[in-house]
Amino acid sequence: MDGVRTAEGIDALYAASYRRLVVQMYAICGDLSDAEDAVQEAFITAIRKHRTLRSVDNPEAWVRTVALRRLHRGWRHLAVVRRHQALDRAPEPAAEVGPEHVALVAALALLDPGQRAVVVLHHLADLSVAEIAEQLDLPQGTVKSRLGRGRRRLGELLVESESESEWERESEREEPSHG
Amino acid sequence: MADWEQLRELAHEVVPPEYGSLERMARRRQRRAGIVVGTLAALALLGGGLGVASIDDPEDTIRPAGDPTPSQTDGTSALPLPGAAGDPVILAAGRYRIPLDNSLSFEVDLPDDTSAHDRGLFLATKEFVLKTELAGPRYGVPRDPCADQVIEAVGPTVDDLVQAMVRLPGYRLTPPEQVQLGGVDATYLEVSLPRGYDASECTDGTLQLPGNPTTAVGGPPPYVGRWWVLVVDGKRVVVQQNCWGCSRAAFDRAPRSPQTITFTTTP
Repeated sequence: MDGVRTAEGIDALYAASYRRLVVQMYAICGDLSDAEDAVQEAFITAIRKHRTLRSVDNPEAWVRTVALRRLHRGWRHLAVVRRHQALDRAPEPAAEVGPEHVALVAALALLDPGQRAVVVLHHLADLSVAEIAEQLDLPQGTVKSRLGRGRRRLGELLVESESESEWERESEREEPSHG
Repeated sequence: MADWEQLRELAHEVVPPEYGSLERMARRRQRRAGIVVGTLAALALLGGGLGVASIDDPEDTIRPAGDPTPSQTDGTSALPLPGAAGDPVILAAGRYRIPLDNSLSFEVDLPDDTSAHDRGLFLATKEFVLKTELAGPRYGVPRDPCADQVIEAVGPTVDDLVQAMVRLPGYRLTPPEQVQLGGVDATYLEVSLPRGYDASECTDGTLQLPGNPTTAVGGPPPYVGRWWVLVVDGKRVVVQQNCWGCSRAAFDRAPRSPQTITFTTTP
């Protein structure tokens, strides 16, 4: 029996959720190629395990969990190995990341990884504390404390980043023109 | 304030690959898994036994573990902060100090063009990836490095962890040896996965390494590694020198960065 042929509905899930899942993974790992890899691999797993997927209440959450696991397991290693040991090179990401996105993702990258995942899932995937606790297999109290600390730290980092940008803009304005 | 909406809008610029290409990939993997399962079943029926690791590569032969001797270098630099979007930091040759937590740091000599990822958790040279981390109560080993890669805690002591490592299926390990790392008593293991190891049935074709649940990594065979487990200032620490795709000879020729590690504590 060809399991792939019977994977009805996954194409619709793919069309509806691929883009936002990539952005969520990007916010967590800071690398768009790795985010795309993780989500594509998660959908390949979904196609192969379509019977399991049919039995879950929230297929998008299931795919997100698979992608998250893949990120946790693999993105650091893959990023490192790709760069330094000449294994398969990642394709160029299919989207351009502008500076307006970079500031937030750069600040997220400075958070503790546990806080980062919780903050992104809450603010970008719009998950409740209970849903995050379930998806990350953490106690709700841990999710709440990580969310609180992560939000505070993120706020501080963004203020610092904004101050630096403002300072740089002012410096540029004060520079004499050479044109 | 964080502008989540702006980040959300990035989704409009993401271009999904054609769904059919993922289906084709899934189908190929399904077929490959089917072939492996079929072959294993046939072997079992023939009473042939199942040797997942076929292996006569002399480069994969485990050698007796050697006692690493720390060396000292002056002029230690703090690890620079990551760039935009958490980009890795590329380092010039030198000695660097990397915090493990608020009170414990390690210092290490690194070759030129090392990239530091995750604030020094991973230090990638051309020859290997050095991973150094606190191994608290959640640190553990995979239930099965190939097929069930969930990390399970194994107990709080060095011995708990070393015994769990020794029992890991798949990997070849030297007997644990008592050595010193940075002037601290450590248990040392040399680990390998031979080039002939069949990982086609493993998750993503990789085998998982011991680690913290949120930092554990895996990779495809062949793999060679050196692992140190020690207690510094009352905290269990694990140092892994990992290389996927390396020969033993190349690994032995690589800079001996782990052996230069020393630890520093701040009150």
